[in-house]
Amino acid sequence: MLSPQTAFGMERMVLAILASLYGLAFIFYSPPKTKRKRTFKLIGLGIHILALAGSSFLLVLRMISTTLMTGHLPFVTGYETLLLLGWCFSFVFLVTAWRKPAFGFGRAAAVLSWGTVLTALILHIVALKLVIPRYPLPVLGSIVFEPHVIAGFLAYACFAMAFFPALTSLLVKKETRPVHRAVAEFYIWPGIILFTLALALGSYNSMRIWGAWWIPASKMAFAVATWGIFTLALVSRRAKRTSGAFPWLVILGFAVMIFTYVGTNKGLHDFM
Amino acid sequence: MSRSKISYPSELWICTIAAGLVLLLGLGIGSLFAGFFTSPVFCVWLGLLAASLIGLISYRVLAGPRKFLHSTGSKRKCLQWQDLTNYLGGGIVSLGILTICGAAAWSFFSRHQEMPVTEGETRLVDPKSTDSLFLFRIAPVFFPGSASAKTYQTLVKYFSNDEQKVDTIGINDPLRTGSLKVYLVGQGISEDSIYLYFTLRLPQGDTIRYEFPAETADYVDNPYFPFLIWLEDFTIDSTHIWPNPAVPEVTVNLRWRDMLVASERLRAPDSLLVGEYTLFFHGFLMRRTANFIVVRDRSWIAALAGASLVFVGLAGGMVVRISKDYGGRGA
Repeated sequence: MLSPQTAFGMERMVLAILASLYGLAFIFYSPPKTKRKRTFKLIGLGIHILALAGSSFLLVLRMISTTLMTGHLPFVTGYETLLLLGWCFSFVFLVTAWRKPAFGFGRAAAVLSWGTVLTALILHIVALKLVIPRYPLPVLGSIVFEPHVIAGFLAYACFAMAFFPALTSLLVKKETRPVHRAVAEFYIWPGIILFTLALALGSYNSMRIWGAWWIPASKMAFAVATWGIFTLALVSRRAKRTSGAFPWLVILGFAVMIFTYVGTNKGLHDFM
Repeated sequence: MSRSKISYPSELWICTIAAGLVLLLGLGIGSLFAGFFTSPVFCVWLGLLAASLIGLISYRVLAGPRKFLHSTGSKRKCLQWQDLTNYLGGGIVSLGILTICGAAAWSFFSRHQEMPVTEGETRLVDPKSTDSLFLFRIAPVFFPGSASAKTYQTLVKYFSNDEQKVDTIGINDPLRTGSLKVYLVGQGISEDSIYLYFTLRLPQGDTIRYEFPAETADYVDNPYFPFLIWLEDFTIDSTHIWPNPAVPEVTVNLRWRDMLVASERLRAPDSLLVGEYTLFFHGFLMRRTANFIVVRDRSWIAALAGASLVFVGLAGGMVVRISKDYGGRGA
């Protein structure tokens, strides 16, 4: 069994390996024009699966260095949420990769995971203070805090995976647009259900701590707005005169989601 | 009005929710800089959204489910179970959001009252009744082998209708009494919880402890002590404590049978000898203050019902989507 110190010491090395693996997966997912395009993509998938296993190992390392000390899963600080988010992007993609049109967006999942892992690695090198395991605040001791975070980040991953096909649907030929938009919708449905669950668990958590299920804070307002924009996107896709707004709403929802994650960590959420 | 002339209300739904979202984003941006949500703006937003949703749901009910052309070549629109599920799902989601809006309004007007209590103090919990709460002590619970607090626990005595019970209130662990809940949301040291701390040693060797809150003309009147002690005006403010604790000085007067027998300025840790009695002045003593929130709010029941409706409606929509993908109707 690894000691917490050893586990923490290994994190930087694993992050560097993961950054390389995700980068490689991205390269193999985007082969040059060749007859063996499918082989390249399958190799990319294999590397991606390996990288996800590495991300899972990284989360286990973090659990050893943090959970053994605090009794809580390591989903509190900005660095820890980056590790979880990187894992979620690839997990959501690999679970849905069986669907042919969705498989085409493997490079999106790889680049998202690569981005988060690289950010975590940079933090590990330049801002060690933000990375060292720390004890969670007393208010985070609720039993629903961790399920709230997991559901929220899985939903974020689904929304991020919907963003890329929505964006490309604006760039491709008219005939292939419905396929891209169907892929985006395919990711939004589980995302919206998971996000509803995350909001409900967050409300329950807030009720246990402060006695109010709705706390007037910017994080809550933006989270509800994110939920509303993606719901609106789903409805607009089915409506005759507003279906053209679907990709724009998904792009807007993704932007608001990013802002919710990085721009509203003050007040009750300043522990991030 | 014939049914064919009623357009399907999806566009209306979109406009309603879009307007609500724009306002919500405005509120969110505002709350980054100022407390927008505590203003009536939030109530106006809730009211507008709720009114729009009521109109929308009524319109949906009047318009009924939309029929589609389900097979190529067919000119007849028909209603399949997916169309009906979509229609019901949309209605249920709208109803769920409306219920959540109602719950938010209910919560906004429910009782959420802050109640700071210092160790050793009693406060009325409910002004409408005689319920009160006495705070014995606040204590942090540390992570094993660490100086970081895992949680905070308070030991309290709750007085209600001639009954009293000793209980604990912790973070995430409120006190429930009737329809009220008392939450511990913070702790600290406030200016009015700073005391001047004296001990009096009696001739037989026993010591009696005295704590005087600032800005009070309190006095010691004890049957074991023949003198009456009182203190002359002293105040304590944060400058005495921060950045470095100042050494407090106080003038102590001793009276015996209407005669002033001593008047001395003590500087901690001075002591004053009066016959066989010794009065020790130790300096400041700080008691912790717990910040409680007293809540009488059952709006969570409506919020839970609303969230369940939204969840069911969305799950219905997802089931339809999956069935369409597998059923060959395409994207």
